[in-house]
Amino acid sequence: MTRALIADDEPHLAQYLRDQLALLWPELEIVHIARNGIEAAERIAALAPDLAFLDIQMPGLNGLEVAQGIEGATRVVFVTAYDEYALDAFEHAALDYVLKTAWRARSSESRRPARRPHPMHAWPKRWRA
Amino acid sequence: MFLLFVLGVNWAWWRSRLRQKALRQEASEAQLRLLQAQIEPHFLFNTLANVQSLMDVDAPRAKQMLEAFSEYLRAGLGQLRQVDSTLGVELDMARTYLELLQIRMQERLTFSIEASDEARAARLPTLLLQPLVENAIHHGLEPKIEGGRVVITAIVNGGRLEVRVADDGMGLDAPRRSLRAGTGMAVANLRARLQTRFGDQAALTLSPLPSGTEASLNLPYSVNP
Repeated sequence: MTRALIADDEPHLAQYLRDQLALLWPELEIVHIARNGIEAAERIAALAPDLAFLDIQMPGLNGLEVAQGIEGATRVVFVTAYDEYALDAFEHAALDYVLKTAWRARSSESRRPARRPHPMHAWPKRWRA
Repeated sequence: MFLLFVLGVNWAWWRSRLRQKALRQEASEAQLRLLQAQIEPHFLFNTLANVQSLMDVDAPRAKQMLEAFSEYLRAGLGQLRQVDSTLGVELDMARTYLELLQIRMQERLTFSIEASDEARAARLPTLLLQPLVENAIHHGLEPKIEGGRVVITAIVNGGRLEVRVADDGMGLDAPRRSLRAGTGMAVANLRARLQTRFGDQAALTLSPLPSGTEASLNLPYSVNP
C-alpha cells in the first residue's frame, strides 16, 4: 500500500485534497496531515511516507525547504494555488506539481506541455508509473 | 514696457510649470493607487481554492465566503475609482478581508477593529489602510506557526487622525520567511502618496512591539463636506 503525507496550513484545503485522493486513489493511505513546514519535516522523517503533498507557502518552513531537507526516499508533489513557484519546485526535484484550483480540471493530458500542472484524475497513474 | 513684457512671460512660464507639476503629481498618485489596488494573486487563488473545497462539505460556508469575497472586490474597485474615501469605508474593507482570511486560517487568526464614529467619518485617501493590514498578515502572522492577532484602532486627537495596525507576529527583525516581496515596497508606496498629498503634515511609522509590529498613520483630520 502506498503511504502519503499532506502538508497545508489551510485545513479546508488539506481536507479537500484528502477527500479527492480518496476518490481517485482509494488504496492510498494518508498517514498524516501537517499544518506547517516544521511539522511536515518531522513527520516525513519519522513516518517515511512514499509521497508527500506539500503546499509551498507554509509557516515554519516553506514547501521547498521541506523538500530540500528530505533524506529518505519520500517523493514530493507540490500543491499550490498559484503557479509562481513552478520552476523553483522542479529545481527542488519535485516529482510533480499541481494547482489547487485544477483538482477537477478536465483536460487532455497529451495536449499539455511538459512540466505543466496536471488534472488530478491523471495523477495516480503518473506517480505509480 | 519691455519690463512688463518680461514679467508677463515669466509669470506665464511659472504658471505652466506649476500646472505641469500638479499634473505630474496627480498622475503619480493615480499610478501608486493603481498599484495598491492590485489583487494579490495568492490571495485571489487561495480564496477561490477554499471556496471550491468548501462547496461539497459546507455549502453555506462556501456561500458566505463567496459573498465576502465579492464584497471585498467591489469595495476595492470602488476605491480605485475615487481619490478620497472615509476611514469607515476603509475599515469595512479591512474587516471583510480579515473575515475571509479567518475562514482560511481558522484559529490561527483573530482580530479586532475599534474606531469612534468621529474617526470613522474622517476623510482618507483611498486604499491607505489596506496595505498595512495585508502587511500585518503576510509578514507578521502568516509566517508564524501559531498565527496571532491583528488589532486595528483609530482615534481623533487634537485635530489629527491616528490609525494603528498592530500584530503580534514575526516582527520587523525576523529573518525574511516569506517567499514574497518585503514590507518595504508597500510602505514606501504609502509614504510617497502621503508626501504628495500632505507634505510634512502626515507620517507613517513602523515600530517594533515586544512581539510583533505596529504601523501607525498620523494625518490631519478632516471630514467630507
